[in-house]
Formats: sequence, C-alpha cells, structure tokens
Amino acid sequence: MEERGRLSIQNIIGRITHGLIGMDIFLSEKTNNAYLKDFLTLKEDEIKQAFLSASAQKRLIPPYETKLSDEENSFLNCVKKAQELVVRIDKVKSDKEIEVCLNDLGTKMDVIYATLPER
Amino acid sequence: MSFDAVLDGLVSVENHIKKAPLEVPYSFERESLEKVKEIFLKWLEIYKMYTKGYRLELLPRTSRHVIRMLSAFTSDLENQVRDVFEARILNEAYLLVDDFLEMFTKSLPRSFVLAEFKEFKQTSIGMLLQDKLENLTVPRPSTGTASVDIIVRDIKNTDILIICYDRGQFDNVLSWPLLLHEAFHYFYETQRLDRLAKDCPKVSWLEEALIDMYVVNYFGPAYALSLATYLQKFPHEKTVSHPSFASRIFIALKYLEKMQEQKKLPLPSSEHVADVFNYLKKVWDEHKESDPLEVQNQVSKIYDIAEKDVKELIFEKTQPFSNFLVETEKRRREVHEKAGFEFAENQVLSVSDVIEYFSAGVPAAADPRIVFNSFISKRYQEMINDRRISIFIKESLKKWHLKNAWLKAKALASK
Repeated sequence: MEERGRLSIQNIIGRITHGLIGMDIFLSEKTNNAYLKDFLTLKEDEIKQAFLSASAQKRLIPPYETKLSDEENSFLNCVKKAQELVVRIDKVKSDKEIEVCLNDLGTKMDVIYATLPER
Repeated sequence: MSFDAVLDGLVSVENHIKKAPLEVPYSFERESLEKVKEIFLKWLEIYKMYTKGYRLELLPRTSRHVIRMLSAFTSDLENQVRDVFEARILNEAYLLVDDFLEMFTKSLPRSFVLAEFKEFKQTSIGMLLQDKLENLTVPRPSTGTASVDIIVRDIKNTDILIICYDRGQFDNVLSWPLLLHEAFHYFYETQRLDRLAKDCPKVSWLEEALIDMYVVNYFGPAYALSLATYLQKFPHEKTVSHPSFASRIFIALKYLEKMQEQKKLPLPSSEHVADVFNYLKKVWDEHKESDPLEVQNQVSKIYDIAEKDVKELIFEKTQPFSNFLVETEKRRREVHEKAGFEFAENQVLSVSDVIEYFSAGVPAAADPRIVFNSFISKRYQEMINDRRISIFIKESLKKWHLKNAWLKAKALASK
C-alpha cells in the first residue's frame, strides 16, 4: 500500500470512526447526527481505490499493483452493512441491532489498523 | 490511553517540530524549512481541535477507537516531519532543484523541501492534509468548522512542494536528475502542459511519458542514464498512471538516437552519448519483449507528436540540452579569446573542462547540466559507486552556486 493510498485509508478510517461515534451517540440520544452523515459519504469505490491505489500519480515509478485481499473484501462488506443500517437507523426498533453492528465494525477496524503498513 | 494522553502526544510532537534543526547552509533552503515548520504546527493545531472536540462527546462504547485513530494520525504526522527534517540527502541537491525551478517557474511562488521516503515522488503538504481530512467534518461540540477551515485555507495558501527521494539513494548523487522529474510535475501542473499534448494518443500515462520527454530534452543523457539505472533496479509493467519500464527506456532511446543523428555535438560529448545509447539499448533489448507492440507504437507516436512542443517550451525558458551544449562551447571559445582580468568569474566550462578538473581533483564551477553530463561515458558508468564522483559533483554545485551568488551581488552593487 503506498503513501497516497495510505492517507486515503486513514481518511476512510476517519469516516468509519465517525460512523462508530455516530452510532454510539445515537444509542444514548436517539437522534441522527453529523458523524453518521460523514460515515454515509463513504463510497465503495473510494475504499477499493484506497486499497488498490493504482491511480496514484506524481511519482517516478508506479506503486505495485495489489488485489483486494479476502480480509479487505470482508471489511468492505461490513462497512456496507453498517451503512445500510445507518440509513434506516431512525426506524431500527432494538438497540441490540445497532450494538452488534457497532461491535462488528469496531472489530474490523482493529484488523485494518493491524494491516496498515510501515512507511 | 485517554484523550489527555493524545493531547500530551500532540504537545510532544509540537515540541519536536519546534526543535527541528534548521542548520542548513543555503538561505532559501532554511526559509523553506521554516515555512514547513509553521505549516506542520498549524496541521497539529487542527488535530488538537479534533481531539478536544471528541473529548467532549459521551462515548462509552467507542472512545477506544477514536483515541486509536487520533494516535495513528499523530504518529503519521510525526513521521512526515521526520521525512523532511531528518532527510539525509546532501544540501547541494537543493541547489540542483532550485536552479531547475528558477529556470522553469521563475514567476510562480515556489518553496520546496526534499524529504526522505521510500521512493521518488512529488506531493505538497496541502495535498497530504486534504487526502487526510477530506470529507471528515469537525467533531460536533467544536466551535464549528470555521476555525479549522481557516487553518486549512492558511496551509493551502502557503503550501510547500515536497520532493521525495528514495531513501536507498540518499548518498547517490548520480540519481539526483530524477528529482527533476518530480519537480517538473509541479511545472506541468501549474502551466497546464496537458494543453500541448492534445494530438497525442489519449493514454492514461501520458503525463508521465511527457515529463520523461521534457526532462530528458532539458537535462540530456545524464537524465536518461539515471532513469535507466534506477528503472533497472525497480522495473515495472504498464499501469494506469505510468508507461511500462521498457517504454520509458524507449523514450530516452529515441531522444539519444535523434541526438546522434544531428551530429552537431562537440567531442567528447558525442562519444559519451553513444555510450549512454549503447547502455540503454542493451537494457531495452533485454526487456522490450515485455512491452506489447501497441504500447511501443503509442510511445513512438507520442514522442514524434510532442517533440516540437517540448523543445519549444524549453526554448521559452532556456535551451534544450543539445543546443545548450553547443552554445556553451561557443561561449567558452569567446571568453577564452578575450580573456582579461575578469576571466575567472566569466569562465565558461565545457564537459572536457569538467573532466580535466575532476582528474585534477578540483571542483568546477560549471552549470549543473554540464557537470552531470560529464560523467556519462562508459568509463564513468563503471565508476558509478566511486565516491570521488559524488564529492566532486557536490563540491562543483557549491562552487557554481557561489559563483552565481557573487555575480548577482556584483551586478546589484553596480546598479
């Protein structure tokens, strides 16, 4: 994963963390919030792009091409599921559903941190 | 870990930035580093605002994740500071890049720093910050986005170009021409040079191919040799953003081939160009099979279409390398003919002079293009790891910078 991609991933981490914060706040306040809006701005293509980072420019040689690993694909699915839940969060009847989603996404984030490369 | 610990970490990075050494010999280099310091401190301020904002939220389930994110951001910023302030490249590399930017971007605001990284690339602090914070709104309890927006705008207004070099090459002076490829990206972008390439095949890697063309036409065979030597270590296939390794060698080969056809280069440069050509041809022959014929044809077409524009643009700023070399010889003869008491400071050095100076162990105050292109022959290709060449080039750049500074000061004093 290259520098530009790494920064994009950190940006993605930022927006997912906002998703986690947003759900946490929702559980206590029961109102939609700006953090959740941030989380919903994250698009599937952005995540793929950041992991592949194939379009990086302004470097002498291109970054090595990589493929989305199984882990990254499962991360992508987890984010998509969480976003689906956030879209209908006002209508979710049980807090349990939000808590499960929050835990799953949090666990995935731990894996992403562990796989972030050294500079 | 708590939010307070994150804030402590930010303060410690802040102190690290404030204490970062600025003991560098060249004033323009020191000014750029001072600007970078200020920008990094502003960037840190944004992180402090984020941290304080998050700290006010009630987050029973997720504070651990937020703290982790902030720690990762802080540690990344600290690494970026290190890349710049602990860069091991010799200060004289700044002279080469500054001369190049002065030539091409005279009227543009430009500050740059060299940073040690894992590869050659170009970026700016504004771009790095944008990549990080784009779409990430300020934490809810913060006083609003205005204060962060002001700092971000401030950073963008005083943005600094960061030219990164491959840390494995930090002491390889002969790889410095590759820094010019990165510096040229800035010029390409600010001058919107893609407008000149409108008739070229619409390939996604056009910018990279054209930049190789511009730099080789400006800096001559020394760039071709640095590029080929580096690419041989790190060969790559065609990607979305870059033509293949073989295609890039092919671009440089086309340039050298045309240069040889012109038969106007003075000796010994004409022989040296043949040596570089042979080296590149050997590398290309070994790898050309990896390049589809279609790509080779596209590269060839791009070269033929863009060559005139490339040369014209270089003529607007200076001279393409082959013209420059011929002109240097001419000026050298003229100065020799009317050598007076001011001979030493008006002296024009050619490739053969530089080689002679090198043999005598005396640095030569010659133009960087002449200095670098004095070490491209087969003989010097075999001495690539000889530290005497690095020391000579470094000292020559210093001497040349000093000579120019003296001439400028003298011209100012006489006004």
